[in-house]
Amino acid sequence: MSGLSVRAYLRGMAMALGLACTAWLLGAPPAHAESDRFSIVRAHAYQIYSVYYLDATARIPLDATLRGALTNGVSVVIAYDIRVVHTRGWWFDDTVATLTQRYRLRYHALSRRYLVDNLNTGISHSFSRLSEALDDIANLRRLPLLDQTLLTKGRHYQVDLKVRVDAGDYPLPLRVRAFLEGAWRPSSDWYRCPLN
Amino acid sequence: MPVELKRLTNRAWPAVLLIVLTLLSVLAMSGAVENSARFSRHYIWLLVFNTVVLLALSLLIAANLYWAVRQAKRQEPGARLTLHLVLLFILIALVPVSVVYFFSIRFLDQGIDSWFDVRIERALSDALDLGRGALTERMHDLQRQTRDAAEGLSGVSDLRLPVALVTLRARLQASEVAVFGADDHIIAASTDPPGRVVPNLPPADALRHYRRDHGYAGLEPEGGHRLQIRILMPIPAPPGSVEALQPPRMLQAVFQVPGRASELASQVQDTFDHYQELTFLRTPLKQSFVLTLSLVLLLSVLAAVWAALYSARRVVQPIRRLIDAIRRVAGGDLQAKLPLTRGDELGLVARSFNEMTARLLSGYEETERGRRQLERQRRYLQTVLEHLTSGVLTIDRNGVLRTANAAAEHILETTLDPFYGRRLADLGSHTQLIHGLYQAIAARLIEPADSWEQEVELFGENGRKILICRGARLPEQPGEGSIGGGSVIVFDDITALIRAQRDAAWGEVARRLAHEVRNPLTPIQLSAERLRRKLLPHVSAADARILERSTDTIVQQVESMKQLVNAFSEYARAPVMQLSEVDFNAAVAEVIELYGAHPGVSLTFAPTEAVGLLYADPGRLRQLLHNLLKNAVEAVRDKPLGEVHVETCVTQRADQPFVELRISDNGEGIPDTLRGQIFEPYVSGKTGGSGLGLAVVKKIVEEHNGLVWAEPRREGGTCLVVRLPRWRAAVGDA
Repeated sequence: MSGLSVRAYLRGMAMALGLACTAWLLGAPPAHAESDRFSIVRAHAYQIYSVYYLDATARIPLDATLRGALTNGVSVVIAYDIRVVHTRGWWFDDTVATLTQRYRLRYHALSRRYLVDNLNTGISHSFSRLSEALDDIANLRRLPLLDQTLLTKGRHYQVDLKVRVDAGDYPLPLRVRAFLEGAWRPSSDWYRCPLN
Repeated sequence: MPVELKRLTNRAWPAVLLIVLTLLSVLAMSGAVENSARFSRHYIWLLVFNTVVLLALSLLIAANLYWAVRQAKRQEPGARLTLHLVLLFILIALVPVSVVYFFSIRFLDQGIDSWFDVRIERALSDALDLGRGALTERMHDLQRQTRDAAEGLSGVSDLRLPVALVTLRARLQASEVAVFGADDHIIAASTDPPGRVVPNLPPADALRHYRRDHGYAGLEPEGGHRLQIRILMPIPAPPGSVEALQPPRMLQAVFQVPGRASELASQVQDTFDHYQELTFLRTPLKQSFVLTLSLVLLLSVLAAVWAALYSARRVVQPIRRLIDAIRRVAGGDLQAKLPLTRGDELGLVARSFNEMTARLLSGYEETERGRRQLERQRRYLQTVLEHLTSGVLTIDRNGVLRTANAAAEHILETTLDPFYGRRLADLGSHTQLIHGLYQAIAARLIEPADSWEQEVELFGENGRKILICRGARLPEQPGEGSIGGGSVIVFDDITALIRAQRDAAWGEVARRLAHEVRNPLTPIQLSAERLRRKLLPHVSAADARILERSTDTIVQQVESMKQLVNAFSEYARAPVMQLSEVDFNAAVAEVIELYGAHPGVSLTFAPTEAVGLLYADPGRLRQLLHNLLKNAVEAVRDKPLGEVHVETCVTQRADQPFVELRISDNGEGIPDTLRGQIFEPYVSGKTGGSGLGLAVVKKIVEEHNGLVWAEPRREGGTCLVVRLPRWRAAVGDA
């Protein structure tokens, strides 16, 4: 039996037995330096006629793990979770609307370009550099949020958003790893801006 | 709470439910690994669920094992068997599963590794390069055409430009051609299909390339599997014109890669991507398979362990009940029953056990009834025996004394308790009567006759005893040791009967003698006196002396004979008792007074105050005392220091208080030949005695329901003991 088989055997047993503990211990993403983390740099929600739009700029630094996965044919889905909430001082916030804006980033080996698919609209753009592709994703421009009619006048609304890598879209074998290792599913903190 | 938990874990359904759920979950996981979209989304949650369920199952099994071990430590019935079965089941389940797991992991590892080959990777890479090369060549061709077209557009006015672009697009077979101004604004464009408002704008990196290299040609993927070739070329200004001083305009031509080529290139691209991805995911993929397999293994093992525990408990439970019931039966509880809930062999065992205990119980009850009946009969016989006046002894076939009743002890004048279990033949001569009895009947005991009868004469401390013995052989009881066989000996003390017969005969003799003798005595006496009176004056002096002496002799002898006859008469007289309260001590003292001045005899009296009153005939009592004292005094008359000691005392025999009078003397004692007969009439150790003194004493004592006997004294002489019942009233007063 090969050394790998023995290792796999032992690892399988260990994984099955210690899964819960490991999940608990490694469930939280490890701490990174601020510049290495996903974050929302700024966001601005505004109204044009009766529709609210969102402009946002994020920092999406992909680490070596994810870059390696990307160049090896694994597509990475980066998603913005956006929710419009009615903040109530005396009770939990009331979520009025939720929206997830998803981009699939993949490497096109034939053209040696990075392809960004907007999964909400179906529009694709290709970039010769990864940084350009990430910049394209990191800058949300005029993203329609919701219609004014859905909001109640006089109430104070805010927009919460965060950007993350959607681990649910990984190929299945990676999903377990992503579940166990936070590095595979980086995420920013929630960023809150007023809905003007 | 632990009891509730134990009850829950002892039931089958929670574990079965857990196992079924986990099995379904593992199946779903397996589906997910096989890229089933339905389960794929929930893969992680299935994994977490399985882990939690397996943990719960582990806890369930741990709790069961803990209880099983604890029961085994407490040595509860069946606990060790349960543990053994569990270990056996676990071993049976674990070994094949582990082997399968081991080889599965190995095959999985090797199987996945076999997917990957450097040659395939190289081939794919080459295919990709080939595709890329083909497209690049086409791109270069289009780039040349576009450059020519751009030169053709040099100097075309803005007004003619749209038409020129339409012609150009058609000529180039491009999907789109457009001309951009110096600041990248669109001057004119032609698109296919026509009417597209905004043409396909060049991306920033293309513009960057264009500006740097004064031209750009690039292969760009579109959404889906489509590819396009974008070419940017400067439109040279006509030499010498004003535009030549400005940055040149830019012609963009976008070509769609033809369907077949695009499709093939995309397929190569997709396959390459897929292969790359697989290579990259090789380790996580293996881990996923190993994880699923491990979960299945764990589930199988835990399910097997639980099934082992459950079935061991199920198997052992009736055995445990059986052990409990057997212990109860061994402890004497014959009511123990086993529940008849099973139809298998264990059910048969339970049924047989119940039948056995039922039979044991009925047998026990029957035995108990028999025992109680025997006990009743034994008590009945005991009571009869105890109240028999006949003595009863039983001896076994070896001559060992087994039982005796109280009357036997009384007749044999000894306690027989020490002799039980001893052979009568081994008893020494100190047990005079029983030894004598055995000697007399020993020959009879070995006779084959079933019954026999014999009169035995024995000499004990209280004199001669005549016993009439009847013996019978006890039935043999084979198989019961020495209890069966042997003989029963029944004997009666007929000494008193014979004595009474003799006394009656003597009384009759005395009465007849007195009657017959007394009648001629008076005429004889009178005749003798008349002879002396008539003849005395007529005879000579010598004859007169003879006559006087002879008549005196006749008269004296007749007088003597009269006294003898009176004594006989007195002895034979029918008793007419005149009972009254008598102070016994005072009566004794009064009679002693009469003998107080007897010369040469020391007479002492030691009364006991507790004696009190007797209910007796005072005259006869006085005669009794008189006869006894007279007898005693006469016994010591010839001794130089004659001593007679009289004492009274109280004794208690068999709850009956008696008054005893003991008159001791230091005379010659009673000769052995006369012992036992001294109370019979006409038996006397003295010369000149009538032989009636002690016979009268005995008669008076018996008339007062008392006893009299003579005891030889160790220091010489005799002690006569009279025992009279104490008067009840006197007892009450005392």
